[in-house]
Amino acid sequence: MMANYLPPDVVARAQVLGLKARTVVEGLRVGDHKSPYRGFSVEFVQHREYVPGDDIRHIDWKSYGRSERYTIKQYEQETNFAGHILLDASRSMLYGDGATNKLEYAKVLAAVLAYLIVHQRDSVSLNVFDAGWRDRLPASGQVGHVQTILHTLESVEPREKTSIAPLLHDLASQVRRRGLVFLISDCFDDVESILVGLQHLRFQGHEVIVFHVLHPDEVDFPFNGMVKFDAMEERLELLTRPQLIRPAYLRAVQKYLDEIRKGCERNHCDYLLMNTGKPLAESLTAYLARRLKVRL
Amino acid sequence: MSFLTPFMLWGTLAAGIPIALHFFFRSRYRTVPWAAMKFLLTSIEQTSRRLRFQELLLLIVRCLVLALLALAFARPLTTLARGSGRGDAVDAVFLMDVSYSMGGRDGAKTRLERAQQAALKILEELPPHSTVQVVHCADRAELLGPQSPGNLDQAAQIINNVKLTSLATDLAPGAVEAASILERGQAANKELYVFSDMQKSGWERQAGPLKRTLESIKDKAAITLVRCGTRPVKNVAVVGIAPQSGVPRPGERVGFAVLLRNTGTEAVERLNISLTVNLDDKSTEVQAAPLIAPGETRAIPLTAKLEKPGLHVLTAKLQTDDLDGDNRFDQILLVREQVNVLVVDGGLSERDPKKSSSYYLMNALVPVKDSDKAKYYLQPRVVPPRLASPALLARQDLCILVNAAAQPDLKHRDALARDFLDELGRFVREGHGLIIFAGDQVQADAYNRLLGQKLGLLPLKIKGVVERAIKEPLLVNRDSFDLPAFLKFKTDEFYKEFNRVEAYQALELDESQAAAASRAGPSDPVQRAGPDGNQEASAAPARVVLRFQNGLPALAAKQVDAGEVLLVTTAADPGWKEDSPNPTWTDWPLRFVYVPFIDVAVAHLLHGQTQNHNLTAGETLRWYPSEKMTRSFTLVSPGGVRQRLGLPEKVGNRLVVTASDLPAAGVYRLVESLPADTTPAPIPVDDKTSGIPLAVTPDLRESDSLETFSDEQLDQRLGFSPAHVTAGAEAGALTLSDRLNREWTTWLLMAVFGLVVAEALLAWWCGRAW
Repeated sequence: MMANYLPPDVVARAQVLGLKARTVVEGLRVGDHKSPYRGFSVEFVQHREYVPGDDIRHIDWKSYGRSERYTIKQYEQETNFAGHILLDASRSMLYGDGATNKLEYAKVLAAVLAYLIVHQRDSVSLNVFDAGWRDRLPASGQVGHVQTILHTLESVEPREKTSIAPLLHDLASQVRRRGLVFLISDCFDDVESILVGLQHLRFQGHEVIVFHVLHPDEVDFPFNGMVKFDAMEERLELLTRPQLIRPAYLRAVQKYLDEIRKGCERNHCDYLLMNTGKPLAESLTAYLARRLKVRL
Repeated sequence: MSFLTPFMLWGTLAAGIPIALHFFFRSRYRTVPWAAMKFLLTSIEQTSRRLRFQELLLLIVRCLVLALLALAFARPLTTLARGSGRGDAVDAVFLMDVSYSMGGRDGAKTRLERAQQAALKILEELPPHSTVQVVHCADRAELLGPQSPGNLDQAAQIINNVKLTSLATDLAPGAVEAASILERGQAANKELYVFSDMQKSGWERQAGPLKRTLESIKDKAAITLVRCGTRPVKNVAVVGIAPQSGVPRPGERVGFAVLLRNTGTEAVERLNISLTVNLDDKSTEVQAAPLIAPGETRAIPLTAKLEKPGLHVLTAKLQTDDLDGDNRFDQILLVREQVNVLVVDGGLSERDPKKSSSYYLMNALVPVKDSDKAKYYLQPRVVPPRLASPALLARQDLCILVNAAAQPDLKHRDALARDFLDELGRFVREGHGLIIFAGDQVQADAYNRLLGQKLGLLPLKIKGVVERAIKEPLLVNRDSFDLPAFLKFKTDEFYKEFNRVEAYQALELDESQAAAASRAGPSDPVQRAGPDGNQEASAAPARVVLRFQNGLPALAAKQVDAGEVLLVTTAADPGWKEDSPNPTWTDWPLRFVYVPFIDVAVAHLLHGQTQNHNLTAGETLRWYPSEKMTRSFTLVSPGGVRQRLGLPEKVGNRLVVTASDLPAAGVYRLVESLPADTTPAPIPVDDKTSGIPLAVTPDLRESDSLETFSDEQLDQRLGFSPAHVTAGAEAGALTLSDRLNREWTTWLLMAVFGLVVAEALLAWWCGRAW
C-alpha cells in the first residue's frame, strides 16, 4: 500500500493558496504565470520596430498609418512554469520518529508541492539526491505525473551522506528554462558551497525556494544524561553529557541557520525553516500565504 | 599521626566511590543516532577541555569529601601519641617527680608547688567522667591513688599532699608504673602527664628502659611532659662530715670537715654552715662558708663536743640556697671510751719486738709514752697467727693482719686458722674494720683463695709482688688519695711528705675486676650478701684509694656488707733483713706521715662501724639485732611517723630487721619493744631520745648535676615528640587547648562541610550550560 504523501488537510489548504511563480518563468504553455517571452497575447506591452523575419501579422497598421513606419505590437505572454523539486534523501534525513522524521516530512512536502504544481497546470520534476542524483523524474504537467512522483517518493531509501552543492550546479547547467527550484533538505553540508550552488541557480534565472527541514531535537537539543551520539552519515560516536554542551550546540546551530538564511536572502532565495515538530500544513500554508501576499 | 578509632580509616576507601560512579555512569548511556554531528563536534571542541577540568575537579572534591569524612570519623590526633579528643572521658595518669630537686625554688614557688598547681589545673580541665591516678616517683614509684579513679576531688587532695623525698630522680620506675596503670585503664582515651624538672639524671639513669617504656606508652596514650621550673638553681650541697682528728673520744671537742659542693652553675657565697650534735641547738657551731665556685668542693672546718660515749647524731646544715633538699646532712658517730684492736702479726718476734712486723704499726697505733699506753683509748693486742682465734675477735673493734700467712705450708708454718678466718669474715660483715698489710708471709694464692674468693674480704686479687731497687723505689702519689677521710693528706701541704714515701716491694693487684665491677655499676650492698649472710664471696666493687706514682695501687678499699677492708700493698714495717741495712719493703714506717695515716685509717674504719646507722635515702635498712631476746621493732621517721617493722626475720643464721621505706632524709629511730605476747605492758617508746638512731642522708646523686634537658633534647632522646608544657598559669589552658587541638575531627568535619558546599556550588557551576 502506498504511503499517504498527500495529507488532505495540507493539500486542501495549499490548494487554496496555490503556488504562483514569483519571478518570471519560461513556460511552454499558456498559464497563470508571467513569461519572459513577449508574444502575441492579450495584454499589450510595447511597440517594436519591425525587422525582416517578423510575422507580418503582428504589424500594427494603425501605427504605420500614423508614422509610416512598420512597428510590431508586443503583448505580455502568460505561461506555465516548470517546478524542480530537489529532495535530499541522505542518511541524515532519517532522523526523527513518525511524523517528525525529516525524510518523511520532506517527502510529504515534495508530494504536496508536486500535486499543487500539477494541479495548477504547471509541470514539475522530481530530483532525489544524496551525494549524487538518485531518482530523477522529468518535468511534466500530466495529472498522472503526480502518481509517478508519489511512487518514486515511496521508494526512496536513504543511503549516503549529503552533498548538495555539486548537484545544484549540475541542475543549473542542465535546466535552461527558468523555473522554480524547490530545495528540500536539512542542508547538513558546507553552507558556503550550498550558497554558491543556489547563486548559480539564481544566476540562471531560477526562483529558488529552500525548505530547510530540521527536527526539533536538532534545533533545541533537548537531551540529558549520558548520551552517545552515533553519527548517521559517518562512522563517528561521541559520548557526552548533552546538557553541558547545549548552549555551545545551540550557538553553533544558530550560527549555521543564520548563515543559510542570510545567504538565501542575499541571493534572493526564499528560505523556509521547516521544523518537523510543527505541522506541515501550518508551515506550508503560512509560507504560501506570505508568498501570495507579497505577490499581491 | 594517630587515630582514636582507626578502623574508621577503612572508610577512606569510600573515596573510590565517586570514581566508581564516574565509570559506572559513563558505562550507562543511551545511544542516539545523530545527524547534526557537525554542531555537536563544534560544541564539544569548544567545551571539552573545560568539561574535563570540571569533571576532574568535581571528582577530586567528591573523593576528598568522602576521604575527609572517613578521616574525621577516625578521629585523628595532631600529636604522635594517642590521646583523647574534646569532651571524651580520659584515663589520666599524673606522674609526679618527687625527687628533692623538685624542691628547688623557681621564683616565688618551688618546682613541686608549680607541679601541683599545674596538675590541679589539668585536673580541672579534664572532661567529665575522666579518671585520674597519681603516681609519685623518684628512684621508685608509688601509686598514691585515689582508690576510686573517678574521684577527682580525692585526686586533687592527693596532689596537694604530695611530699618531696630525699631520693634521686629516676623516671623509669614511674614510667613502668604509669604504663601498668594505663594498661588497666578502660577508657579509649588515655593521657600521661609527667610533672618534672626534666633533670638530666632522671632521664639518663635508666635511659634505655625509660625510652622503651615511654615508646610503648605513646602508642596507647598521649604523653605530656610538664616542665616544672625553668630557672637554674643555685645550689650548694652538704656532701659529708669527715672527722679530722682520729677517733672521737668522750668529752673531747673533735674537729670535723663539713664537705660542701657547689653543684649549680653559679658561684655561691655568704652561706652559713652549722654543725649540731644530737639535734641540740645549744651545741651548734656556725661557720661562714667562703665563695664556692661551680663544681668546687670545699671542706669547712667545724668542731663538736661529744660529751658521752655512745652514738651521737651530727647534723650539718646549710643556710640557705635555692635547693633545700641537700642542705642538711646527718651522720651517726660512735664515741668510744676504748677501742680494741687485734693485730695478727705473722712476723712477730717475741725475743726482739723491734723486728716484729707490727712494731712500727703498734707505735703508730699508740703514739704515746709507755706510761700512758694503758690509759690510751686505743688498746691494741698483738698475737701471732697461730694464736688468733675466733674468741679473740669477740670484743675487738678492729683487726689488722700484718704479714700474716693465710695458709700453713713448708715456708709458712705459722698461719691463720680456718675458723679464725671464717670468724674474721663474719666480724667484717657485721660492720668492723680490717686492715691487711703486705709482707713476706703474705701468699698471693692463699689470700686470693681464702680471703678473696671464699670470704670476699680481699679488695683486689693479688697478682704477685712488684720489686724495685733501692734507687728506683715506688713513690706514693698523695694526689691520688680518694677517700674523704684521707682528704687532708691530699690537700694539706703539711702532709706532702707522702710523696716521698718509698716502697721497694708492693703487691701487684688485679684491677680488671674492679674496673668491670665499676662499669656494671653499684649494687645494693644488702643484696650482695649471700643468703647465709657471710659465706659467699662478695661482688662489691673495690676502689683504689691511694696509688704509687707509677699508677700501681698502694691502698685499696672494699666495703664488705657493714664492714670495710683496707689492703695496704706494702708492708707495715720496713722489712729489715739481717744481711742488709736497707729496708726491703718500704720506708713509710720511718716517716712521720705513717702515724697520721694509721690514725686516720683506724678512725675511718671505726667510723665506718656506724655504717649500719648511716644510710642514704632509698637504701634498705637491714638491722641485725644483737640481743638474744626476741624484740619487736618500730621505725620512727623524722616526722614522727611510726612504722611497725615487727619481729626480726631469720636470714641464714642471723636475725634481721628490714625496712625499705626510707624516702626522707633525717634522723630515724629504731625502737625496740618486747612483743605484746611476752609482756603484759609494752615498753613505752620515747621517739626523740630512745631507740637506735639512724641517719638518712639525701641521695646526693640527685644534686650532683642539676642540669636539665631542653624539650628538643628530650624529643631527641625519646625519638618522638611528646607534648611539652611549662608549668605555670597557662598549664591547664595549654593542655586543654592541646586536647582540643589534638583531635582534628571538628576541623575535618568543618572542612568536609566546606567541601560539600564547595562541591554543590561547583556542581551547580559546572552543571550550568555554558
